[in-house]
Amino acid sequence: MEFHFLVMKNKRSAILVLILLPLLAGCTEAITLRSEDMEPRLVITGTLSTVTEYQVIEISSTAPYFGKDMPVNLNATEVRLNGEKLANDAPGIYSMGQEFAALEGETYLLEVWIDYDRDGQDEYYTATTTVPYVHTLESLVLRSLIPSGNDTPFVLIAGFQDTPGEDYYGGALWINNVLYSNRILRYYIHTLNDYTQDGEFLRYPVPEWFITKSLVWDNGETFDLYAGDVLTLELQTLSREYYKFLEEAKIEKNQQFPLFSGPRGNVTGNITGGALGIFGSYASSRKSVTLPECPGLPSR
Amino acid sequence: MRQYITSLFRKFPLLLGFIVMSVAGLQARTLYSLTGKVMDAVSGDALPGAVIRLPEEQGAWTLTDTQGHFLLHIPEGTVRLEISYIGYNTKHTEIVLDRDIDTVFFLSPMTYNLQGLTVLADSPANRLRRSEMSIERLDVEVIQRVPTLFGEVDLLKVVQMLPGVQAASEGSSGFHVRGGSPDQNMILFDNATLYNVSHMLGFFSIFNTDAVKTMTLYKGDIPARFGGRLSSLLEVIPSDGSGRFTVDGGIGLISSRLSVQGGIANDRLTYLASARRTYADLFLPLAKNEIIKNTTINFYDLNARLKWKLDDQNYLFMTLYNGRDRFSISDMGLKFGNAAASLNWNHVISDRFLMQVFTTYSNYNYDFQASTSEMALEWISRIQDAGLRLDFTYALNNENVFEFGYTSNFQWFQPGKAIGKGTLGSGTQVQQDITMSPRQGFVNVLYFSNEHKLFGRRIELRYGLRFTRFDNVGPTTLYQVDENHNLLNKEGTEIPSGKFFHHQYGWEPRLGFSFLVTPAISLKAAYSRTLQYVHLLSFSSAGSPMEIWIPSGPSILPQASHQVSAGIFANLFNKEYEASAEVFYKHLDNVLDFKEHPDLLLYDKIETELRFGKGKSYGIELLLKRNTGKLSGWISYTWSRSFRTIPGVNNGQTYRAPSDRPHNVNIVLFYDISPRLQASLNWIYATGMPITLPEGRYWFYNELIPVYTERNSYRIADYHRMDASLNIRLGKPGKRWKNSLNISIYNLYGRKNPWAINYRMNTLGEQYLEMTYLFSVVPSITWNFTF
Repeated sequence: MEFHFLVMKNKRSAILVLILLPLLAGCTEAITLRSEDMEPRLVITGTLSTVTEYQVIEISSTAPYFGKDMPVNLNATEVRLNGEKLANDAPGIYSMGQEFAALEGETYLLEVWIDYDRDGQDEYYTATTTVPYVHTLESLVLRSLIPSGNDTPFVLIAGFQDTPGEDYYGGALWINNVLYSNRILRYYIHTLNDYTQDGEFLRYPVPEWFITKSLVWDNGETFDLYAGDVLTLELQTLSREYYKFLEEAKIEKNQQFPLFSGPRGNVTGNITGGALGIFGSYASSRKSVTLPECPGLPSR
Repeated sequence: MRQYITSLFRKFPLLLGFIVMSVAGLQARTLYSLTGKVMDAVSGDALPGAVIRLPEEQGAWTLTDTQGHFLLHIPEGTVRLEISYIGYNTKHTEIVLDRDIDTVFFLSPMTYNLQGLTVLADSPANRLRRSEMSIERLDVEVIQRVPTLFGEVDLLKVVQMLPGVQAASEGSSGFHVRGGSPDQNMILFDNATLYNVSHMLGFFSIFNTDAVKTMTLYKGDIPARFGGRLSSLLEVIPSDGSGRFTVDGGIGLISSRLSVQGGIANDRLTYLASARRTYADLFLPLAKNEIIKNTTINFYDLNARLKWKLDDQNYLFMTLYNGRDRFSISDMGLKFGNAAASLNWNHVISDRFLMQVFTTYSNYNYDFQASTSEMALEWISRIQDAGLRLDFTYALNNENVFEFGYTSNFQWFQPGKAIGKGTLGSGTQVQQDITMSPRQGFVNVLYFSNEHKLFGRRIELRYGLRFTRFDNVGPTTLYQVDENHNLLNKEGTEIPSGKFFHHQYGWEPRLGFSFLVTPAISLKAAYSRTLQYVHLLSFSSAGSPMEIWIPSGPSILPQASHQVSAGIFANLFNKEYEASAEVFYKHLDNVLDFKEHPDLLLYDKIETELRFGKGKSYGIELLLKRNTGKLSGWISYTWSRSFRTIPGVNNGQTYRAPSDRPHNVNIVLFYDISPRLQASLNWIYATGMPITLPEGRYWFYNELIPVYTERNSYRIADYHRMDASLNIRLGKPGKRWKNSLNISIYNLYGRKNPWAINYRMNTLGEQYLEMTYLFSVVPSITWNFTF
């Protein structure tokens, strides 16, 4: 039931663009317009999760938008998390060790000392995040969108107990233990702040992925699905600043259409001292479901 | 008719209009001066060339000048006067002349259509004297000659070719006036306020030119009787129809139209009904693709106009409009459209006093639906506006014409309501709604203005004042924010129905000045302040149908502007050419923008997403226009700049407004090759639109996130386009049945003008920009007929 608004809020542009396509029939062409190269800026990114795993803080510098140069990682003088010094595992990579799990409800302080402007003195950057509480994914089912109810496309229905008040949810999808949501545009986020079923048990259809025999993958390729494949949904409860960062990053990575798109703008981070990036956190709960035998899915 | 009167004026220049044919024998008696003005009882326009005659004194007569003024020297006593004007009912009256008398005569137009008269009343000489400036008037005959897109004559596309006006984007009905945003343009159709005038997402406007008589664009010096928007007023006057039964129509590539007009009861009642419908989708079922086959794309317009002459003092007018677009593809559909109605009463209280009463209603709504076998959603939104306006025109004397009145509008905003329906696993049908709170606004306006002529009408002063009060009325859920845009009341405050819970008011002075330096040159200056109490929540620069309007409120300030303008105006070469140069400066307060990446969709606490600041626009507009001769048209050049400074946007630094496009050239030419063949050509050039481009990037989540330094600091490629058309009259002249063929080519040389810019990455990881353009060369053909 909750499907309707979630679909609508996130798919409006796509729906209308679909409507427009026959009308517009616009053509595209590469153009040579380029911006100037900006002065490089420091970037600090890192997200903590409640899953016990290798978690890192990454420090880098921006690269010019146009051109071949890519952003490069930088080593800091020191990086601390809640006062504990982090290990420098690789250029610009600082970890809490191989077995780290953030604690629900805990506030973490990230501190970075780095001489980014090369004046011989370190600059100091900080950010904090409070890890949300886990919303346990209690059920995960596939629901067919066709009348007979036994064929593709399917949509994943996540069942969980919402908590009253502000909640920011994310969803990541694994297919046979391969992270399909490895890009922002394939990652699902949604807020249920104003939801009328706030605080109730939700059966939450995740509209980001319509499960068919082939999903969109990188470089125009497809990610093919077969009967028997295992889909794992990670329901993430996101910290507010992380949710906002993801939301704006998705907007920036989406296409622009004059009818519906606003002006471009910087993705809002939470690092103090003028650095770009985000220090966020999320609480995680996972569940899996197996794709059934059905006419729309081939067998391996 | 129009040519006849024009030639009449050429033969009898202005001064000849004052010649009094004195009669021998009259000189023995005392002579008094009878001066005055002759005006249209319906429009209030001056009538130049009207005849004032003394039927009992053979040979005593005079003509009004271009301002409608006249002077007669008449012996004392009671005299009978006959005031006549082509296309108007002759007026007979008696005057007791025992002193010099100054008076005004209102003439009522006959019930048949004389479009040329409107143009003549707005003659070049008249325009030169008037204190009003920054005004563009176009007759529908001119609009219909401009080359078209897909064969559809479009009033708003022509508006976009006027100096100081720019299209919001390629193919769009939206337009910027002197650096303002599209929502800062008030559009009135027979005085009914329209909030969205687009068909097919802006490619066409809702105005079927068969049902339109004239349009007037006020670019800043808006008369005191109008207001409500910062940048402009576009007043579209519907055609009254002629008394003669006539059928007009046209068949084009994507649409057809048909109009019927006529008169009954000795033409005391005239009517016009017009319909237009697109049918491009009629051919879609022939497509092989199943989705395209089941796609619907169409729109229709219905117009009706009645004009009823009750007597010489009373006229009733009624205008009805209904239009709707329909899109559907697969299981999704979008319907949107306007309904508008107005009922107006003109009453000539006395020779000096005219009253006009306007009652109006408009309704814009859209309905988006999507469904699957198990679930469905519907999203509806609506804005309604009901208005009452009382206008009084009182000619105190020959030098002072007062206008005063009262306007009241009640606005209902239903920003959005989403209805979800579905079937649970148990088979239970459920429904859930998300509703943005309705909002209501009540605007009340009192205004007063005077046109004051001095020094033998060489100087005209126009001064006026407009007082507006805006009330917020329940029911609604009120959200308020602090100076940091944080909600003060997260749950909102419920306001009961009918409760007036907040008000704002403001004064809007209007000043105008003209000085006729020579009969062919005038200097003008104007100042106006305008307030805007309704705001468009849309990123769209292209006339999106899914727009949301909201009223001002406790946390949404009214936008305000001050505009000063000055110019020199000249009639050249025996009034064959009009030339003008205008400069303007506009300051905006509380101009609205959104925070970066705002949430505007079905978000009730919209106050948190809005940012208010200051703006300014300035520029110069040059215009050369030729109204007569085989070759006519206009050439304009505009240089203008427009900026915004809004805390919370672009780090609080000043940035270019989306409408900041410094150079704009419009060339619109009409050439009468022969009585059967007319050609038109236009060329438009505009500096490229400002665009925000990233200058840096960094990795996050396997994506390169763009970094920006300044909003709108770059520009896309300049816009330019040439269109041409040929109108071929078919059949024999003089016949009742007339038909013609219009062949138009839009974008004659196939310029690829950018519509959207997107970022792309090649296989080497290099970013580049890709533009989407909509149109290359678009030929069209339309067959028009009338009988």
